[in-house]
Amino acid sequence: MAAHAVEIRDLHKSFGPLEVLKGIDFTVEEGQVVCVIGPSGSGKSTLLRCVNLLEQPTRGKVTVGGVEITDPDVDIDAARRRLGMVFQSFNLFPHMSVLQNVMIAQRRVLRRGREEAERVARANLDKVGVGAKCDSYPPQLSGGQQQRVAIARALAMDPSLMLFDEPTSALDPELVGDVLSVMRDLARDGMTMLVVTHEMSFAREVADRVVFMDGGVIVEEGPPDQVIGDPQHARTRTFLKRVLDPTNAGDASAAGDEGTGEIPAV
Amino acid sequence: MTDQPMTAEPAGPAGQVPGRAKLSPRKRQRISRGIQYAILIAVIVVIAFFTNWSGLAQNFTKLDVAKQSLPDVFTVALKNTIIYTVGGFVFGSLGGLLLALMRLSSVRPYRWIATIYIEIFRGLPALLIFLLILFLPLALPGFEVPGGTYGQGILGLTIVSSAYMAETLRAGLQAVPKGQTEAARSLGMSHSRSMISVVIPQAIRIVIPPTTNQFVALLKDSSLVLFLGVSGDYVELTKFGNDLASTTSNATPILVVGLTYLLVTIPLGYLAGRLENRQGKGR
Repeated sequence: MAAHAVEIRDLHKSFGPLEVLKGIDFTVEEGQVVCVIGPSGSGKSTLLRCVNLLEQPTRGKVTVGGVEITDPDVDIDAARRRLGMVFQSFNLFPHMSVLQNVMIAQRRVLRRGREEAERVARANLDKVGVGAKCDSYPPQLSGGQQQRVAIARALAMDPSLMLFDEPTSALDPELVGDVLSVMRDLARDGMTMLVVTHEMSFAREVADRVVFMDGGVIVEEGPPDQVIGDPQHARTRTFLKRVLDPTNAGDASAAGDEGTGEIPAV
Repeated sequence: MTDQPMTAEPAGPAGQVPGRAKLSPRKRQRISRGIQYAILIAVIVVIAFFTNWSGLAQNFTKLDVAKQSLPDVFTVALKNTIIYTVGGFVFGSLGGLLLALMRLSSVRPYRWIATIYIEIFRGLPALLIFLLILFLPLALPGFEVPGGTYGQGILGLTIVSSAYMAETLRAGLQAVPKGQTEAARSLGMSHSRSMISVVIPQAIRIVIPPTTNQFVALLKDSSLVLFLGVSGDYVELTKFGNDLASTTSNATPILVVGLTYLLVTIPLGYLAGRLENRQGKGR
């Protein structure tokens, strides 16, 4: 198999004088779940947004399913059809019902007929557990329900790769579980997923690979048990200590520098 | 007027309980209110006493003259006012949407053209535009605005309203969160498709309240059509009132016409308020 699901080579991205990505290289294989973790401002969301060209990379090459997204002559709309994107803030269309939200792109982009689009929409809404909310409008739903509708909306396009940009960060703590369990089911069904997240337990349980980013570079990557369970770099240890044990985050950097590598159980 | 104490509280002498001045703020406010009411009543009494009521009644509320204006004030004048206004509003909205999209376009010449148009026609008095249309045939012999008098009136109102609508709609388009476009584009929609399906419908909802006000303003501006020299079946409310007032040498038609305007504008203003409230709740 030559083609990776995602292949990123020497990716740079600057916003004005600020260099957010400083040369990223990595690949995602078909059927893999890759979680990207790292402190805020580390460039992980920008990396994800470069994969479907919501951000135009300054330099480097991004190839998705054998199609080079960064080619200036690429049909980006066609390329994006095979990429599902889930945002931190859901970004449902508030002027459409839940059902219409999931149908609109099927109808207008894939040119599916009304009946087929509705059937696919209902199937996907059932799959994520919000099938009963078809006629509601997004503002009437809880955050967890909205995010699941957003996942259904992306799935209805039959994507070969799903991108998740901190999908649970805007949710109340008790609603996070519903969304994560939908994502877990997706992973189990073999969906290729690239997930930017702060949910370490999710990453540890579901990811095939974890990538730790800091300061615009990949510091460390590997299987979750290695990156989260036994991090090799001081920066990774510091970050994990802060995330997993925020109460004692004050001495996190000290602990990280000492290199004790003591990480609380997840 | 004001609920605040008029003068600063002098610092009480030592020994006096703080916050217990001779006059409490409540008492002072009560006195101040009393004085304001007294002045108000005095002004009303003076106006009522010195106004020539019978003269006013003679000139403004003669029932037989008012009857003379019926039914034409509704069947001709109001109808024409609404034709001019709605025509100007519909074409102005379409032109405004086009200009707003041009102004937000990534194509630089589009932005220039839209900016120049908006700056020019927002800055000119509506009356001047109508005079311009009136004198257009002088500059372009043989040129005729399609639709005759209606066409001329609607053209004038369209030119004015499209400049205003462009700015309102631009604000509305920009008020739609960027995430909406990103979500639409991520689903594979083209730029124009995401505009049509996602951004423009939301922008229109956002601008409904200010647009209702613009409609009211346009309704009033339609009175300027009288400078086109309209007559007969084409007169709108103001021209109609003016003509009838001249022929009857009585001001009653002006009052009738004024009330007819209010018959439309007040419900519209109320509607705008309702829409604004509903939108406040929906967000």
